[in-house]
Amino acid sequence: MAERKGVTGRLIGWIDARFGLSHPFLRPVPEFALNPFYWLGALTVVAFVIQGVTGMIMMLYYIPSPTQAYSSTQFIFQTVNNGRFLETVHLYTAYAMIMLAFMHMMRGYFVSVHKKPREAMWLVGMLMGFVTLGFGFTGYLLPWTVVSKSATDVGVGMVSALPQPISSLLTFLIVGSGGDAAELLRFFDLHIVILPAALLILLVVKMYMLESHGIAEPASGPPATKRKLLPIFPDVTMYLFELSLLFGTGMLLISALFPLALPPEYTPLAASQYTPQPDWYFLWIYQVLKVSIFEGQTGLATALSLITVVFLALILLPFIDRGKSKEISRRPIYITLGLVFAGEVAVLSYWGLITPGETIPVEQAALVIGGTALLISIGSILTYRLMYSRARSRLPTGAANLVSHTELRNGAAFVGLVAAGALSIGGALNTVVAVAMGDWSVTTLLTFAGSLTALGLVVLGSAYLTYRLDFKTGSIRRRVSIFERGLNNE
Amino acid sequence: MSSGFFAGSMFIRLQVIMLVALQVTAALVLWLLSPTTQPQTDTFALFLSVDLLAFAILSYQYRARRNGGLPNAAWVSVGYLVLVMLLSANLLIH
Repeated sequence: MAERKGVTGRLIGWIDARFGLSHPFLRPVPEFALNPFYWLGALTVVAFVIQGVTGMIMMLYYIPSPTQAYSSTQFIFQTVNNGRFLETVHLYTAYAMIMLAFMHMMRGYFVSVHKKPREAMWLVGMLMGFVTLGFGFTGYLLPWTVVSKSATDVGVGMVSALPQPISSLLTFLIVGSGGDAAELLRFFDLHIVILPAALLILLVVKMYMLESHGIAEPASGPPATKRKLLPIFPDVTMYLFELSLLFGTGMLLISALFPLALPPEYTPLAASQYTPQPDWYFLWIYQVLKVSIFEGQTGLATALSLITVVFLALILLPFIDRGKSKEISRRPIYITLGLVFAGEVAVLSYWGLITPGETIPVEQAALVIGGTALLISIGSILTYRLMYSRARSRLPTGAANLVSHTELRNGAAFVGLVAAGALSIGGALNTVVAVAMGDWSVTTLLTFAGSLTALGLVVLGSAYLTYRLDFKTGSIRRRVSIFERGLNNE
Repeated sequence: MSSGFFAGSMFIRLQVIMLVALQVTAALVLWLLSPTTQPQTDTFALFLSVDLLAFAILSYQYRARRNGGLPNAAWVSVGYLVLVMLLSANLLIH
């Protein structure tokens, strides 16, 4: 008997027959993936689409020239139907896009999606993240308000402190031949043509790789092929459609509740009375630059090098975190480092928000940055202890005690290493800046040598601890299995 | 509630008819609005949200029943509650 379909079913069938959406070349999706956390990247793309639609409407009225940028933005605000609402949705969706991209990256980090065979996907994803930040940076200048122009000037100043070939290239790309008109035009071109094109190309590459590898499986449980699979159309498409609609509804309501107010127009006089502050997603970087030891051109270069190292570590993560284990329970070091990174970004951003334009004393910075790392590490270690105590309950008493003592020692060593690391990095940076400023006193050189030695010991200790904490191949696992073998032989 | 009136086809049809009618009405209001002031913009945002949310509820109902299951009553109830709140908020604005 032929299956009886309702109106909706017939409509879905009609669409599928015409567009071939459920064609087998699109990989079916395991049922476990119908979870919002699996679609953070897709929602980032939805935000990008909303950006595109609202941006194209605003482009009809906007004039990218220093004399008319502000007045054309004001025209959109005051005269165009829903103009203010459109600007608000565009801005808040941009914020959501950056936030979703960050959440997508952190989720991927915690559930190990960067591991074989998805290393290249991680690299492409990181590039997409940088393009997304580029959207924020270039779009911020366009209204030509005192807030946006002052913040952009800070950003452009930071670019000029980067090492030479990179600095020249980026300066040429974002400032052009120099002057406000050239700069605004470059930012506009980057914002509406170059960056969208780059993002679309990267998206196609990433989607191709996703289609090739499939959705990353959870660390435990049967492989995806053994699970219930859902066709991409209509089930998965409709699920994503529902998420997108809910996201859109949320964005509309937030935009209606908190409408944007246009700050005053940029003039050199207005800028001189305003404390420049970047938008919230760059605040954590800006807060690092405000630490007193990073004042001056050398200090700025040192701080930017440090931040570059953090970004490089994130980009090259698949080649650093090479362990086979994907379970959160078996990656205590990387999980703790990820939590520390997310915590530092949040704390520095909030701190930056409440201390605009203030120089941060180095002791205060060491206390807040080191304290955050220490607190998160202790919290993480306590959580791991709790997790392992559950696993330990399944072991014989002798093995459980052995693991318990080893864990305690490792935990204490890890906390000590984090504290020593924070202190030695602080000392080393302080003395590097002092030496660069011409202070070649014996005390400075000795402090520098001592800090570097301490840093080396911290790195070696961390490497050793990583080995010890690897429950699959490390010493704990080996000792427990020796104990169990001995127990079985008795 | 896996049987009876709430799982029956009549109840589903009633919901579909109601949601589609709501969407058509919201679309008409959006078409007729010419929002340049903040209250008009708020009305626009609320009716557009009603449209999107009604669509999401319809899609969820269809997807859940497609494989012989039932939609989660709590989620559907929350969806309807938010719809009522959005429509009420519109009355408060004016």
